[in-house]
Amino acid sequence: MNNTPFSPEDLARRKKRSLVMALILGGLVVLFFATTIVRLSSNAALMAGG
Amino acid sequence: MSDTHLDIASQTQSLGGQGTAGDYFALLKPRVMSLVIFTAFVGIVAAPGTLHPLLALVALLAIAVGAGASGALNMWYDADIDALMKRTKSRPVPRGAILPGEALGFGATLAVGSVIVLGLLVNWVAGALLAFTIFFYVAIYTMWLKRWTAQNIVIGGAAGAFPPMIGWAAVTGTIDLGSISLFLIIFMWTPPHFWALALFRESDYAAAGVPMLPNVAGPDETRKQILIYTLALLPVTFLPVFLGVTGLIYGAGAAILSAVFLFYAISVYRNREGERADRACKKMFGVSILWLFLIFALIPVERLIGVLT
Repeated sequence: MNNTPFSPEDLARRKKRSLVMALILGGLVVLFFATTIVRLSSNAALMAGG
Repeated sequence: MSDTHLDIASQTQSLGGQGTAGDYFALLKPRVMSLVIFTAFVGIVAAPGTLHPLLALVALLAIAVGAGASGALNMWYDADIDALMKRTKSRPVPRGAILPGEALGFGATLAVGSVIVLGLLVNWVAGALLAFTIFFYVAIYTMWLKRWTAQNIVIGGAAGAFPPMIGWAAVTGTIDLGSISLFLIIFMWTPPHFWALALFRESDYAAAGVPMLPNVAGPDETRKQILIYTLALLPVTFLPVFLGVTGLIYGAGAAILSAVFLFYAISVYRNREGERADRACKKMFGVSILWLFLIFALIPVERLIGVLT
């Protein structure tokens, strides 16, 4: 017996949404890391110059 | 929560979670977002100074998400009137695909996230401007002006005009006359653009009880106002030239485009009856979108020519 209030279609939509969310979050992690490196290196260049 | 919000929630008889990824994307008003991204990009290009390409990408992403958040919050609040208008009744909230509370949570999360990202990773002047833009669009325009006065889009148009200023601030960390001139172009362009739409969608807005100018002051007065605002827009278009933000290529292009805009505004003013009137308004609406794109495109094109020569 199925105890969940969600239909198989609901669960399929949820799975797809979760996948999209995971991809977006993964992309943001990469973007934030790269941005941090860029900011750190520009700060380091400023300190070296000053 | 309004009755309509409760109605939508009860009609769907769901616990939520019905929306697809596409429905959530539609909440962001992607067509509006594309124009926001473009004008913000032009703000970045036009600003004096340089910004690392990755930081420029982050700035554009945050501005786009902030604009999308505004769209989602607008669709949450306006679900009742969206359900009454042909143009908007298939949006995710009135359709029942996404519950009002889900749209609110989605929009609020993105709004806060986009401001924090822009502030922390780029600078806080740009972040504060983005926060103010979201506040202005949601609280001032959507919740207050839109249902209260026929001048709704005159004042509310400011929300759509901020993106180039945010892009500019992302580079300089300041608000300058140059960025204000780009703001003013979109600000003055908005009334004729939206009133052309309101003229051929008059019955839609009347059904929803939204006080657009054609319903309140009549179509003839709206036509006059379109012409007046167009005439006011023309000198504003040349402000970036006088302020040294742009050069002669932009000036020449702006002169041609201004003449085209004025031609269509006069066409709307003169054609007042039947199919011809409708056609003139639809053309004005379509041309106005293209016009804004082209006038802003002139700036990066001019910069590119400057780099190449």
